[in-house]
Order: sequence, then structure tokens, then C-alpha cells
Amino acid sequence: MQNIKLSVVFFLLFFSKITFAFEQDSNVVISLAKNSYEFLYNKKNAEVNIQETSTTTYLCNNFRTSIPVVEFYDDKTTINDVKIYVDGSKAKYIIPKYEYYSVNSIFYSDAHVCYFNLPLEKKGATSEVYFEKTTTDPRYFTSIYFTDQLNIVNKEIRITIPKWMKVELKEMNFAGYAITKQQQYDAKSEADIITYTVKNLPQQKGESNSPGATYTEPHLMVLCKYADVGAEKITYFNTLENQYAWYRSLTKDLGNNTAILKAQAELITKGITNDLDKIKKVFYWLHDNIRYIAFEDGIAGFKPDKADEVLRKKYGDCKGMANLTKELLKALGFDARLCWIGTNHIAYDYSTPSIAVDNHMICALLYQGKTYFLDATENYISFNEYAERIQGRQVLIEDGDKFIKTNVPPTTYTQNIDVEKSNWIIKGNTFKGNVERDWFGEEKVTIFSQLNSIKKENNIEAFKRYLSENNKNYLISNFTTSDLNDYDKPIKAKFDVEFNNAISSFDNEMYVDVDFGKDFINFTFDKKERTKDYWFSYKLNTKVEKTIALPEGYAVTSMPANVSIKNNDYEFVATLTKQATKILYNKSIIIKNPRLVKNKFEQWNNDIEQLKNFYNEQIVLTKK
Amino acid sequence: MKKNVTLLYICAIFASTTFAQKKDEAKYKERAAEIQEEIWSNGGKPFDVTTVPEEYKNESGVVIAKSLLVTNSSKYRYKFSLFGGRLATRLKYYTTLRERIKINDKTALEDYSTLEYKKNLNATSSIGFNKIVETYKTYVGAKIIKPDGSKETVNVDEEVLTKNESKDKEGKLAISNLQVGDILDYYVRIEEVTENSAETRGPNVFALGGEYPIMHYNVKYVLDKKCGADVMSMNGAKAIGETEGDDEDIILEFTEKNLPKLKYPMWSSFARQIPYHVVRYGFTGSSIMATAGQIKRGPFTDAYRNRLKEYYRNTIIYRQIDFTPEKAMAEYFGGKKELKNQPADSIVNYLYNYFKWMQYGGFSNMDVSINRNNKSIDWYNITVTLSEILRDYDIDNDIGLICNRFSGRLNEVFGLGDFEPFLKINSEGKIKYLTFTDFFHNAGEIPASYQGENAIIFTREGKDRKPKYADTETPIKLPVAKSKDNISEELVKVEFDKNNMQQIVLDRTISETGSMKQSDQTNILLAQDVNDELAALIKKQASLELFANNKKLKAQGEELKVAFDKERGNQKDYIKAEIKNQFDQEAKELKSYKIINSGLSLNKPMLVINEVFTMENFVKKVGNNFILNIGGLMGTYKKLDEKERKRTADIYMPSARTLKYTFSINIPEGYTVKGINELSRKVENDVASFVTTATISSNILTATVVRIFNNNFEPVANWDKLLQVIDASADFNESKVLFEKNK
Repeated sequence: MQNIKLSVVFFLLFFSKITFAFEQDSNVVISLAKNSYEFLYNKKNAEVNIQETSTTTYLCNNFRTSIPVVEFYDDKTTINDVKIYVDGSKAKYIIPKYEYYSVNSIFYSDAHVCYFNLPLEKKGATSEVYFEKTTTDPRYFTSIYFTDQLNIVNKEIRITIPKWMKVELKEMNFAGYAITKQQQYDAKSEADIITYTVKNLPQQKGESNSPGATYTEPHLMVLCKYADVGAEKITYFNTLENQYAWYRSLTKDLGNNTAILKAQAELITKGITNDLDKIKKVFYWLHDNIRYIAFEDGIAGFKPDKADEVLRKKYGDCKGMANLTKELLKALGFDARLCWIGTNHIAYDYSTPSIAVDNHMICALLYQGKTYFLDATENYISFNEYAERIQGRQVLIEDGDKFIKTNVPPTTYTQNIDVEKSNWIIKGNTFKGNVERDWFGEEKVTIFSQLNSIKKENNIEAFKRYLSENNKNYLISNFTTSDLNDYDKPIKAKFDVEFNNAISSFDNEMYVDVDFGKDFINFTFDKKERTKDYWFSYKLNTKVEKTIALPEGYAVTSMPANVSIKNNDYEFVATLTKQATKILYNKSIIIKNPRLVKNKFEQWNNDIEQLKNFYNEQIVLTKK
Repeated sequence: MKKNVTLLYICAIFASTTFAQKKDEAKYKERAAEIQEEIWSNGGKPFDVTTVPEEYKNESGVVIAKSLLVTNSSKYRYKFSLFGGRLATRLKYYTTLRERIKINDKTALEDYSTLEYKKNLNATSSIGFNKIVETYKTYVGAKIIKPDGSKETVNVDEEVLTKNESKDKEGKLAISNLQVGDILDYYVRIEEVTENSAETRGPNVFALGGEYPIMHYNVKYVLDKKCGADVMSMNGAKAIGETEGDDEDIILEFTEKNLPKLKYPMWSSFARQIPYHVVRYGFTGSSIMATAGQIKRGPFTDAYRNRLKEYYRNTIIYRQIDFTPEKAMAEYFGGKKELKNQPADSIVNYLYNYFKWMQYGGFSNMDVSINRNNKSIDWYNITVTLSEILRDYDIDNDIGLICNRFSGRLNEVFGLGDFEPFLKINSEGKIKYLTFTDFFHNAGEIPASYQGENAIIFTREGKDRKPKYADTETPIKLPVAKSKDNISEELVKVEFDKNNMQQIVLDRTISETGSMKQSDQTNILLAQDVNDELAALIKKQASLELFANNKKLKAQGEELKVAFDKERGNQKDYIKAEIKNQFDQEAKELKSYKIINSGLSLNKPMLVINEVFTMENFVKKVGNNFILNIGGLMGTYKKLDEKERKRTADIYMPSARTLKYTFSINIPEGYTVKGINELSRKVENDVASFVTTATISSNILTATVVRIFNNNFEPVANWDKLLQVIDASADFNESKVLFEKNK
């Protein structure tokens, strides 16, 4: 979803010269990596280029093997030279391949890859790879990463910045790494030479639901501000105003065909008189009719497609979809604007002007003194609700030649409700009940997304399987739902359940397993394995309210002890209340802060243990 | 000056290349327009349909019409070369796929929203002045019919090129303006020109059904009279029609209407149960059965059998048999003289192990991964080699051919690869069959996929190295192992964790025989261990010894040891995966494991593994007492839903088999067990059984489970009987006992 051009650029930089797809062990290490970046003025093209050379020496520690080496390039970067040495000899027999690189979920981009297999001929042997690259536009030169997917013994990064080039290097995530910096002025070349050295850098480790690399990996954010080249001053992103001006230059004259858009907007909202209803209708029409297909080709990675083109094609990337949202709303007379935003995958904000700051475009609606944000790529989200990835994020809203810098409203867990209310009776070893389930916010989005990814003829069956957790004893009947084509309202489901074998009976006692779903029962962290924080996809708010009628002649003789864990990050509350003829079960699982930091894993595991103990204890009913 | 000339020359080439490219593009567009006109105007009535029957309204998508048209032609061309002229045949192949589909939901929309294709490949090569033409061009087109009946042609110029070299282009097209409710009508035309007349095209398999219901399905081949075609129609598919077209063209065609979606129930052999057609074609020189202008209808069991005979005969006559194992074998048995005195089984077993070891391969490539266990074996050559070596020791044997149960039947062979060769040993020993499907069957064991299948046996005539095979073959049927031959037995000692009664420690010993062991052997045994055990069986050096004893390889051997050790560290993950597969949840902690016996040796063919691990979620606390899900200790047994219970297709079981479990549960001090009477169950019929018992003795609760499937195949009429056992297993799977605290 977050695929505008920037994400590709980020990806390329981050994974530049990485080796991947082999085991993360220490059989092969990078014994020495030397990367040099130099700003040069290319008089012929009147542009500033960044000349990058890298020499990476790979050392085989244990046993001979080969590793894949890849280097990315695109419209703004070229690979000028590749040299490969195996055990000191030039390996002419290794022919690098140059191919289009298919980035997941991007239909087409200008990303290309140069790759080859690099042998390490025996224990103790080294192989060396030299790349020379040129970046032709400093706007695209946004970061330099220190780590790799292999352990690095020694690394040196050298940046040569001539005095005519204004660049700010922002050191990110250096804490915990022994990175040293030296800076000297070279009078001959009239340039600052900044050298970073670091020893024993651990390899990057991919972990599910972890923060993006900008949060975790040591790197330099490169802020190219301007070049004062003789009489000419080329300004890149000296200020946020410059960055916006560049974006503005790409978006102000898109040539949208307003007549077509107006006709479509009126068709969509035909018969609707209320403003908010019109807005919602447009928003949901986009969800149903415009497919997200990302194109990230050169400058098109930053320039939205014409709104009428997106309308005609019925597909677009986030930029095109934002533009169409804006133009349809504008056609109806609303004040709709384009917005640039970095999703929560990115650690930066607009205090550091750079194309690495944002990776997404949405639409803002300024209506009756309030700003609403509409993300057409976020299928099935309700109007005025926000996905976790953009909640609270800084956003640039176009405002003619100026811009409005604000934030998407942060939303609490109250947006994402999953509530189950049910009444149960016990018949033999069967639980019989009627259940009502409601899903709001991102919980609703998840259900809609799942349902729409399953073939129509199977989706109700799949919905039931989801509700029964694929337990074949949990038989659902009289199943009804709210309108599954109405994305504005919560999803509601009502059904009857016959849950066979749910009750165990021995002698005069019955044992009742009160919680069917057992959320998070095995959700603990292996502190040895997990190295990064865990980020939930979104905040959670799960509620269960269950009433169990006591069977005639039985009394409650034992129940699990209630659980009540509450802290600033989450709440686990499970209570059982005994009444004369029934038991009330209330459960509330709330994830208030979806970013669970590593040093809280132990507390989390202990709390889950309490919840697990509750789940694993059953209510005892004894014959009177 | 020279520099300038060179520059001029380069400029001239560049200019002409650019011009040529533009010309090519113009030609491509012109041809694309012709094709579009041809296809849109020749679809026939099925491609004009705009409505789908009411019965399909809930389907994700409905294929209104689908067609495949394949045409080819040949032309002789005189070609000049430095060495004189020659006649070359230039062949054209045009393949046109057209599909018209009603998009009813977003999944179908997603399925049909983009097209990817190799747009252009020009692999034309030149040797001197002699040019060998090889080109491949793809043309795509699409139109959309909106629910209001309006039509819109998709602009294919919106394609993007993911490869854009002058002679190699790959394209992608996102279909514009496609929405749920639309009908998409698209085509892909591939035009190939080649001078490789020896190429065999196909086999193209056409299953009669698919992911979506199909209202009209037509496949047509219009083939040049100099071309031939092999065809076969199976599992109830009507024979493909055959007519003659203009210029004596061969026309093959079938049309089907209202094909339902295909279903894939468990325990099926789709190649034997789904109706399909298969077509293969080619010009003289290709490896098809038909000659020019001819259509040959399969099966081709006899013809390919004869080809194999010829191949084996030639292999022997032209001395392509590798007899080196004989020397190793003589050494193993203490000399040639001693070797001659060995019983047949010893020799057979030695050689079988020898070839498995050879095929398993060494480690000079440093590939120590477990994936090696899935390596394929060169069975065609090993069969004849082994056969001939055995003859040197007067061990009478014959080569046999079989088709496995999950491919077509023996009398339905369409290609040489459908046959799987094996050896039938005719000596007095116990070993009767040698097969080459994997590394984990012992000599004499018949893979489950062969059992009960018909086979043919070649009779070799003559004892010398100029043999003949008899014209007729002996048909045999390979025996089916009984359920007692394929056993998986688990002895599970269960202890409650003293510190946490809701956690149990399982000491699980798994013993597997027959068809029950290969999967675990493949997924658990380390490559080093497999290699070294096979080596030990034939008195060859273990892999590390081999390296250590060779000066040149010594250093590599040291590296190999590190690689082996690292892979050995991964074995615990293979064990954990086995536990997760069995119980549908991960072990809380794997305390220890041991491969007690690998099952690789004929003398000790049972795979035995011991695992000690802790599990959660089996025990629930109830007041002061605990409930144990004792039935869950046998792993997860599937309960079938209503849809799965309805079955119309015969049942292809993996094998007849017995699964036994014995759970010995240590009753914690101070507790009494309740509910064991419910644990004794018996469901038995003539095809399967499920019997359980439970007893208590000396503070040990012992429960046993025996689940037996008597046969490897059941007619669908027996499905209800199998359901009885499946249901009983699933019910027992949920059974519980109470550990009551003594009052």
C-alpha cells in the first residue's frame, strides 16, 4: 500500500549491496567494507552527481561456499563498473546479470538489479567485490546504511563533500554501536572529508512485525540542501518549503479532465443530498471500483496520474488514487487536497526534508472547519477512521504554493472493537447458544479484506469457519450478517451455535470451558530469539460478554480466579460472576500501545501466563 | 582520423539499429491489428454470450467461453551458405488462447486484472552466412463488456516492459476499466517461427474443468500435413474429433459445454479420476509416435515399452554398463571367490545399497542440506546396470515397468516418462523387487505407490552381452502390503510437570515400518548420516574419513566437518517440525531427541526415533482437579464437515496401514483417575477399524489405540465404512480423563 516511488528508493538504499537468501551465520563475514561517496559537479549536464564506490571483502570462516551478491540501480542511479576478485584473482568468469527487479506488490517500477554468485573457495579465503555507481540527482541520495545481512568486522564510510555542496548528515540509531567519526578539510579539493569507522557490526535480522529499518539500523540520513556551483545555485531540499515546491511542481498541472470527473462524481452521488453522505459515497465507491496497482517508474514515482486516467483505467497507485479522490470531491464542490505522508514504517518526519520522509499519498478534506483524511488505498476503512499506519503521522497538505503541516488524528483502541455477546445453555455435553458479534474500525477492515479475498461462493462458509476457529464441533446455524457491501457501518453477525463435546462430565460434576477463542494463549516472546520490538498491526479492543445459564440442579463449585492486568500498554481482564441461575463472563483484551518494546517482553510473557492459567482452568458445576 | 571513422561507423550502426527497431515496432503493431481483427471476428456464438445462467450467480467467476487454437505450417526454404546451399524447413506455430469470463467478485477480478507475457524473443542465430531463424512473438488483446452491454477495447499499448532488449522483451499489462460485474474477453496469440523441426510440442493436457465453471470450451489443432499428432482422452473424456482440413491439414478438436468446477477431495488420484485430453505434435524428427500426416491415438504403452527395450538392449550391446561396483563388492565379501559363494540376497542387497550410495552423492560440493534426501534417482540407467551386474553372478532378474498409483495406469501410457522401471529378482532369496523411487526403501520393499499396480516384465533372452528381449512381456501385479506391514507405533510416556500440572512431559518413541517411515526419514535424517550409513553398509569410508584420507581433500574435509556440525544443529528443528505436524502446536520445549535406528539397513528396517518434550494446552484445571485431553496425545485427527462427507469418487489411500499408540500416564501422587471406562471403544468393519482400551495398574494409566485401514484402495461404496472409523478417531481425539485430587 505504501508504494510510491520513495519506498523503492528506500528499499534500494537499504538493501544496497546486501547479500541475501543465505543463512545468517558467521561462516561468511564481511571482513572489510569500504564505501566512498563523493559529490561531483557534472558540468555537461549541469547537475550534481554522487559517485559511489564500494569495496567489500568477504571472508570465509569455516567452510567453502558461495553467496549471492546483489546491487540495485534505477533511473537515477547507474552501475558504472563491477569488479570481482576471488582469492586475489580477477574472476572474469563471473558475469553479473542485470535484470528488472520485481518488488513485491509493485506492478512496475524502474528498480533493476545486478547480481551474481560469489564463490568463497575455502576456509580462510576471501573474495572481493567492487562496485562503482553514480546517482544523478542528490534528491534521491537519502541515506547510507552501516549494517548488512552479514556480520561486518570492519567498515569504513567516507563522504567527500565539496564546499560548494551543502549537505547535512544526520546520525541515526548510533546508540549501542562503536562508530567513530573523523572530519577533515582537504584544502586541495576544497572539500570536507568525513569518515565513519565501525568494528564488529552485527548482521541485520528480519523479524516479523518489527519496526522499519529507519528505527533500528545505524545509518546516516543524507539531507542534500543545495549546491552553489559557480554562478548557479541548485537548491534541493534546503527547507521543507523546497521539498514541497518540488512536489508541487509535479502535481500542480496534472491536466485532470474536470468535466469527466464531475460527471462521474455526480453519477456516484446521484440522489444524495447530504454532504457527508456524498463524501462517504465517493470514498466507498473508490474502494469498490479502483484497484490498487503501483507504478513507480522514474519521475512517475512521484507524480500522480491524472485523475480521469485513474478513473478510466479503474486502477492506480496511491498517488493516482489520492488524486482521483481529491478531484471527485472537488467536482462536488468540496475543498479536497493532496497530501504527502510517511507511514509508520518510517521513523522520520518533515523536520528533515527528504524524499525518504514520506512514502504515501492520501487526500485531505477540509470541511466545516475540520480536516478529514481519505486514504483510498485503505480498502473498507470507514470515513473518518484511520489505519494504524497513518494514525498520528505528520502530513503535508497542499495549499497552493504553500502547504499545511499537520498530523493525521491519533486514534485510540476504541476505534477497533471486536465484541461478542452471547447467551448459552448446557444440554448434556453440548453448549447451545446464540451469539452476536460486531466488528468496528480496523477489525472490520480485516474481516472485509478476508471476505473479499475468498471466492464469493465460499465466503460465508469461510466466515463461519473463522467464527468457529475451524472447530468442526462448533456448529453454526441461522447465520445472518449486516450488509457486507456497506463499508460505512460495523459488521454484525448473529448466529446460533451448537458446540458439541464442549462440556466434560465426570460423576456429579460438569466442567465448562468458558472461553472459546482464548486470544493470545500462546502469544509469548522468546527473548533469546527476538531481538526487535514487536509492533501489532493495529490497536486491539476485544470484548466478550457471555451469559451461561446453570443447568437445573447444578451449582457452581469452582471457577478460575479472575484476571486483571492493566498497564499503559495493554489490559487483560477476565472476570466470572456467579449469580443464582447463571454465570456471567466478561473479558476485555485491549492493546492500547501497539508498539511493544523489547524490554517489556518479560512482563508481557508473565501476564500472558496469567491469562493462560485462566483459560486453562474450567468452571466446575456440581449436582446439588 | 581513425577515431572519427570509427565514430561514424558506430553512428551509422546506431542509426540503422534505431531505424530497424522502429520498423519492427511498426510491423508488430500492424500484425497486432490484423490478429485482433481476426480473433474478434471469428469467435463464434459462444463468444457473443453476455449472460450466465442463474445457477452460476453465486460463483466468483464464470468462464462463458474458452478456446485454444493451435495451427502450424511448414515451408521449405533454400538457404545459401559458404559451403553450398541446403534446404531448410521453416516452421510456423500460431497458438491462440481466448477466454471470456464473467467477473463476479474481487477474487476473480484480481485473478484477471493483469497479464504477463514474453512479448518478443528473437533467438535467431548465424553461423557464417547461414542464419537459423528462431522467433517468438506474443500479441495480446482484451475487451470488456459492461453490464449495460457497452463494449470497450482495452488499450494494450498501456503495457509496461519488464525486459526491453532489442531481441528480448517481456511485458505486463494491467487491464484497464475492469470491474466486478464486467465480462472480460481477452486473447493471447503466440506466433513462433523456427527451423528446429525436431522439436516435440506438448504434451498439452486439457483437464475438463477448472477453477471456475466453464460454459463452453473448445480446443482445436489445425496441423500441417507434414506434422503428426499423438492424442489421448482419459477418464471418461470423449475421444478428440479428427477431420481433414484444407491442404490435407489435420484437424483435432473437442468441444465441451457446462463443465463444473473441479473438486479435489482427499485420498484421490487425480490423473485417474479427472477427465482430460492430452495432445502432442511435431514434424518429422520430433519424438512423437505419429508420422507426418498421421494422428495416433494413445495409450502408447506398447510402443514406449518397445523403445525402452531397445534402449536397454543398446545400452548393453554398446557396453555402457558401469561394472565398477563388482570390484567393490568383491572387496566387501573378501574376494571374488567368496563373492561367488554368497547367497543371492546378500549380493542383491549389497548392490542395491551401493547404487543408493552412489546416487546419494558425495559432499565435494559442500551441499550438506537435508534437501538431498529428496534428490531424484537415475532409475532408467541404474535398472539396467544393476540387472546386468546381477546376471554376472547368476542372479536371474528381469526389468519391469510400472506406473505409480498417482499417475495414469500402465495401459494409459502417453510418454516414456510415465513408466517407472524396477527390477524383479527371480532367485530363491527373499528379495523379490528392487525399486528406485527414493533412498529410503530397503531392498525388497515395494513403494506404496506401486502396490497393487499392474506391471510388465521384460524377458531377456541370451546370457551374453548381445541380448534380445522377448517380443511379449509377462504381465504381473505387484502385491499390496497388508496393514500389518505398514506400521506406525508410538509409545508415549506421559508425566505431569511437578511444578506445573498443566504442562506435560512426553517421552515419545516412534517406530515406523513399510510405507510409514519414508516421510520421516526424508524430513529428519541428516545427509551426513544417510551417506555414512549407506557407506557403512557397503564398507565404504564415511564422508569425513574419505576426505581425511586424501591429502588433497584434507583441508576441505575439515571445512566439511564444520558444515556437518552446523547442519546437525538444525536437526532439532526438523524434529520440532515433526512434533508440530503431529500435534498442530509447537512443543514448549524439546528436551532431547535421538534417532535410535535410521531404518536404512535391510537387517534393521524399522525407523525408531525418541523425542522428549513438554507440551501445554493438554491439561485443564477444574477446581483442585485436572482434565487431560488424552485423545489429543495421538496428534490431531481431522473431523470431516458435511461437504467432505459427501463423496462420489473412489478412494486412493496412501497405503493399507496400522497406527498404534500406547500412552502410559504416570498418575500423580494423591490423584485418582476418572473416566477411563469411556476410553474403551471399538468400531470395526471389513475395511477399517478403530479400537481403544484403557487400564490402570501400579499408578500408571495405560491407554491403547489401534487404527487400521485394511486396503490401499476402496471403492466409493465403502466410504461410509471409512467414515465410521474417521469419525471414531476424531471423537476419541477429544476424549478426556479426570485426575481427581484425593479427598
